[in-house]
Amino acid sequence: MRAAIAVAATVWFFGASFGLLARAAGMGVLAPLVLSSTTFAGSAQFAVSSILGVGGGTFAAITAAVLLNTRYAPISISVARLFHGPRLRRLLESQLIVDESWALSSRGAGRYDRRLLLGAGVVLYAAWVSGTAVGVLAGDALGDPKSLGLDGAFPALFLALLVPQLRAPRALLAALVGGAIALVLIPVTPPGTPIVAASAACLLGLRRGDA
Amino acid sequence: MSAVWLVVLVVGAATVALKATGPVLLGNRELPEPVARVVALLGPVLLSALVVTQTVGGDNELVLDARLAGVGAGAVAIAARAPCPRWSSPPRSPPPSRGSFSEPRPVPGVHSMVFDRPQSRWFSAEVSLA
Repeated sequence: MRAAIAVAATVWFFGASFGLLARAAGMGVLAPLVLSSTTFAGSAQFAVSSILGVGGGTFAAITAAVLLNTRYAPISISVARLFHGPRLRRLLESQLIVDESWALSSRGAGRYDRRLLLGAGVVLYAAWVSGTAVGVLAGDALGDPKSLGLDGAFPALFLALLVPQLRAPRALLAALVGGAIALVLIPVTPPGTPIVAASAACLLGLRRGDA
Repeated sequence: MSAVWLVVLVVGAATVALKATGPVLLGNRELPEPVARVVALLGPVLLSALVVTQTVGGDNELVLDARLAGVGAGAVAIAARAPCPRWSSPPRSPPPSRGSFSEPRPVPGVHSMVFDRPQSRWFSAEVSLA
């Protein structure tokens, strides 16, 4: 959970940055807050604010954001067995899934820690929404987190969480194939698509055998 | 309805549905074994794709910038102090239950990752390096 709190501080700055950009893009005060509360996914929200900010159009903003968030279908499937009880409860709890809470709760070999997924999710949700609120209200007083070098922090975190999962040869192979698919598709497909396409690499699991 | 609100409502509803896909459709049930093996690989595959896209991903182009240096420094740090995040042996018996916000409990019989000081130090060092 300590790791989750460290991540939450970074997420808060990005939330504030989103609020700032959304306000500058003419989204007002309430709409960015509603977007942060319902979408709770940084990259898609930044895409929305930047596209609306340059007058890029409703359809373009929706398409980009939904494509970016399509990865949550495979991500939520990977943790589906942690969710029990009535459908409404599963629906509400699933909203705490975000890249960072999902990655932090990952234990390797397809196992995830439910309490860490939901606990980190709550902390990150609070950080994201409160950061957004401060961003839309405070304006330019806050700096750009990218200028602080914070945008390198998330991929480094994901790498640190990935490495311990690569001990099984099959997992290593799947991760390499998935990474390669993403790398090749980045220049030729819309953002978001490379991650979804990379999930095809998990079909390597259809082969029989222990590893 | 203004364009801004249309975007906010459509994107919000779509994301809620996407995040609910697994838990709502597949929760409360065990998957057949071959499907479970495929789903188990989603973790490393998606993490790997996230590392790649967030390190060199741009708007329809590969971008080599400070992020790559930051992740490279992180990779060196991981290689240099190998047990980081360190792996702990599972305890003989399950530890007593603690609050939801405590450290993750090791699952008996499974090697589990423990975030201890080296992990936090490494992460904060990374933030300043990147």
